[in-house]
Amino acid sequence: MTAKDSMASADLDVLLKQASDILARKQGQDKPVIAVWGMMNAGKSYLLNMLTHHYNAEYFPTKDTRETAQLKQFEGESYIFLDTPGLDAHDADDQVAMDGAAKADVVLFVHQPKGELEKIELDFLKQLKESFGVYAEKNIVLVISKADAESLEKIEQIEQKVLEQCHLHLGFAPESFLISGTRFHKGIQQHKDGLVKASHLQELKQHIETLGIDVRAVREERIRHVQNTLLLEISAAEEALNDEKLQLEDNLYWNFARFNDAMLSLDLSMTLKKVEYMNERILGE
Amino acid sequence: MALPWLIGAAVVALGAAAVSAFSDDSDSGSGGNGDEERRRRERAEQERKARAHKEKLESMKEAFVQEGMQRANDLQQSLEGQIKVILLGNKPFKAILDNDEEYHNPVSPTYVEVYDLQFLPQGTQDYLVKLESLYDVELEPEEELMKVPVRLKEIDHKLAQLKALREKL
Ligand SMILES: Nc1nc2c(ncn2[C@@H]2O[C@H](COP(=O)(O)OP(=O)(O)OP(=O)(O)O)[C@@H](O)[C@H]2O)c(=O)[nH]1
Ligand SMILES: [Mg+2]
Repeated sequence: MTAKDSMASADLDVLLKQASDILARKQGQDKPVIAVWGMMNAGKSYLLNMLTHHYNAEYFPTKDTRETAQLKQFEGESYIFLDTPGLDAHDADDQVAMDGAAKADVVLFVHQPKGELEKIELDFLKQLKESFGVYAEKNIVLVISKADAESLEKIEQIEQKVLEQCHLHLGFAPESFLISGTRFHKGIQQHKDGLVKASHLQELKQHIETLGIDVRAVREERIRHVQNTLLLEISAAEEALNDEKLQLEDNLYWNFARFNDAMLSLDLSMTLKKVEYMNERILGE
Repeated sequence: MALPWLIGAAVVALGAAAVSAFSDDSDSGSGGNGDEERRRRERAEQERKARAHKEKLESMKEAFVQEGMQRANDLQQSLEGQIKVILLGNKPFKAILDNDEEYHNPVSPTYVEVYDLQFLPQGTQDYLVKLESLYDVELEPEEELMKVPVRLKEIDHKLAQLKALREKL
């Protein structure tokens, strides 16, 4: 099996799984699925704990090192919240994160303000945008996390830069929120409204409400996209296989060319000798 | 197929020869002792001719076999890396020149059938069967060659899967 071929079929398996995931959800749950997505350690799980009111005991485990490895969901009253493993471009866990994004109706893309978007974040975002089709602009929401960790000025600079990157690479600038999960947490626990307000978490919640997510329409759009991608992948895989087949047949032809020539030559020579022999025999009678 | 045409030509030539021989005979109709002497000489001459003819046929047969033997190694080499050719006995070339049939009936089942070599181009299959009918040989496809049909089958299987998947979409 060639590397090219095994890659093509691996991709196909992935697409197939995504397709069946989405198709399965078509009839199933009708609560919108809100997924967090982004690089590892960005604060995704922490944010979800806040959005799902897990203030005292974590539902989504958080840690300073790589933590989430599997998809984990929480069913709220109006939404299903989905935690995904951090992207890191070196890891098979990225596939789990991709599967998570495939299940989502809204993606909160979480970016911590250490700098602008990295290339791999942009690459993942591009894929995400593709798969959301016309809903990308609305249903991909940018969250700049850990807003308490830097000066407001610096954070706003980074936000500006990130939105420019999105505009350039995705063709649109998503709605963005500067969020501090820890401020919100403290504010709730210590009943400090100022902190809650400064966390901007309520604004994010409100924004999700105003999206008025049409689950069926979003999913249909995403299914359409998966189908198209799948069809393209199928064609590419078929082409690769047919090429390989032709190559094998061609090789067979050439590997036996010398034998075929030798047999042809023997055949001709034998025929000729037989004719000569018969002529000779008839002449002698 | 040049054969029938050439034989046709040979038969015409033969007819001409017979006619001339006959007229020679009728010409020599007179005389006593001299005649007998001549007839004896002619008979001797004819016997000599017949012997020479027979020898010529024998040597043609021999040349035929020799050529077959000479070509054996080349054929063996031409299949190197694809099919191992084991020549059997010290006279593996078994075709006979004065056998009117094109070649001997192929051994059944042929090696093409035994090893399922139907994945080879038809012409090559035919030549392998022919090789077997001309020579006492054992054929043994190399492992590398036998990977090809396995892979071809895999490819067909995958193509069928892809087709099914396409139809499901
Ligand atoms: N200062 C600050 N730290 C935060 C905030 N949110 C999360 N953190 C910390 O950032 C670290 C990573 O948070 P997680 O929520 O586990 O990050 P994650 O994106 O889920 O990480 P993975 O699951 O490994 O991809 C933890 O130590 C959190 O306490 C925030 O708003 N401010
Ligand atoms: Mg996490």
